[in-house]
Amino acid sequence: MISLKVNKQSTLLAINVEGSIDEDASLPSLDFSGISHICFDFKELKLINSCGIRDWVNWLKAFPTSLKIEYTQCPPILIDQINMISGLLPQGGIVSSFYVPYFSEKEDDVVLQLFNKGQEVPEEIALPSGETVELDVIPEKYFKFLKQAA
Amino acid sequence: MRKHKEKFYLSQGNCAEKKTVFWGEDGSEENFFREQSFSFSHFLNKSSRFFSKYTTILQRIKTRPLNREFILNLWGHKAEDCHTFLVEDSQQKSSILQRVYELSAEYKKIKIHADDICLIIDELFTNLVYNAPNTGNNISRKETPEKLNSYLKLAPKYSQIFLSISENSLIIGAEDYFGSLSLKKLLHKMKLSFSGQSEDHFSDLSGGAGLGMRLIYDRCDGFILRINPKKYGMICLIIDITKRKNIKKVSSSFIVDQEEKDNE
Repeated sequence: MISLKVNKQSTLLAINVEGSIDEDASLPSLDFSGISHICFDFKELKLINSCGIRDWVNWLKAFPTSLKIEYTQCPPILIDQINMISGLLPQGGIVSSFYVPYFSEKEDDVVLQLFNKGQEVPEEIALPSGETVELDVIPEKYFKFLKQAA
Repeated sequence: MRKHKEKFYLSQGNCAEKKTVFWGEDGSEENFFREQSFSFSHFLNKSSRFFSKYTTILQRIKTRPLNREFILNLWGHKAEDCHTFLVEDSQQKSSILQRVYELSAEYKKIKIHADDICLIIDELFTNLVYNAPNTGNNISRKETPEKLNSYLKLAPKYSQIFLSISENSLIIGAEDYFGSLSLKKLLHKMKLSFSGQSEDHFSDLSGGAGLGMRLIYDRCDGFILRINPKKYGMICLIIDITKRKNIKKVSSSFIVDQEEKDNE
């Protein structure tokens, strides 16, 4: 189930997206009066399936074209889909921050690191524990969205 | 040999030779698959790690249909360890996914695959509820749960989702007794997806836009279909868990065992 927490701040509409975007997601009509910028925070997004992608893309089509659309804290489950479906990040939209998976040999698990657009993404990073973890994506594939949004 | 007229196809991309190899019962079948198949460019830089199993699969298909037990056995899984979820209620997706997350936490080897597994099962569940019973019923995504449940009961048996975990691989599958899956339509929709045209069909609410199958396909190493039109359908996905998730994406095989003629 999706939960959208909408917060209007002057000309900005900030929306926290939580839960799953799927066939049960009810995407509301928004009031864009006085709004020039809409920012979606996806930190708490758990899943987006094909029905959800379809509904999301159709929902965005109803937004004013003059609106600046920004995605922040995008998890890999969303980045993967943005890379595959061009309309998921509308034309002119930007991904201002995104998570990148790094692989921890010690934990045999993935650690997500947040990066801002324009920030260099190193091949390896050191965790506070001292362990060095390695980038766990194929860069040409995972960072495709940066070219799209450029 | 199987008595009824069946079609079967195996495909495997070969990196070195830049071609896709098909085995079919006869030339016409082979051509059918070639014509209907989506762009195989995505196969070209992939060399399947499952090639050694192809001969066994081909021998099996010639004599008997593929089934869950055969596939589990071939990949070294024990049928008794397979987790099965009966799809009796259109609202049970969240409970199935919750159980899958619990299993992912239990089996450390698949923990990093948890998001992919859940997305695959989510897509399979959605297919079983909205698409499998769609044998002329024109099921809308806005149907009430009660109506959806009534459709689920129309088949001789309830559909199932299964998940099996071994040291080396994960097998995720779905079986339905409607037999409504059309290979021709499936391949056409996947072709749209691979050519970036799915978005053009997003406003069409009847059926999927091929995106779900594409999401599934992208996350597995082996994609096996068995289609017995108007009777039975099985989709079975193999995921290699011996390598790191995001580094291992080098191969994907596509295997179809289709009996009689395709649904239109």
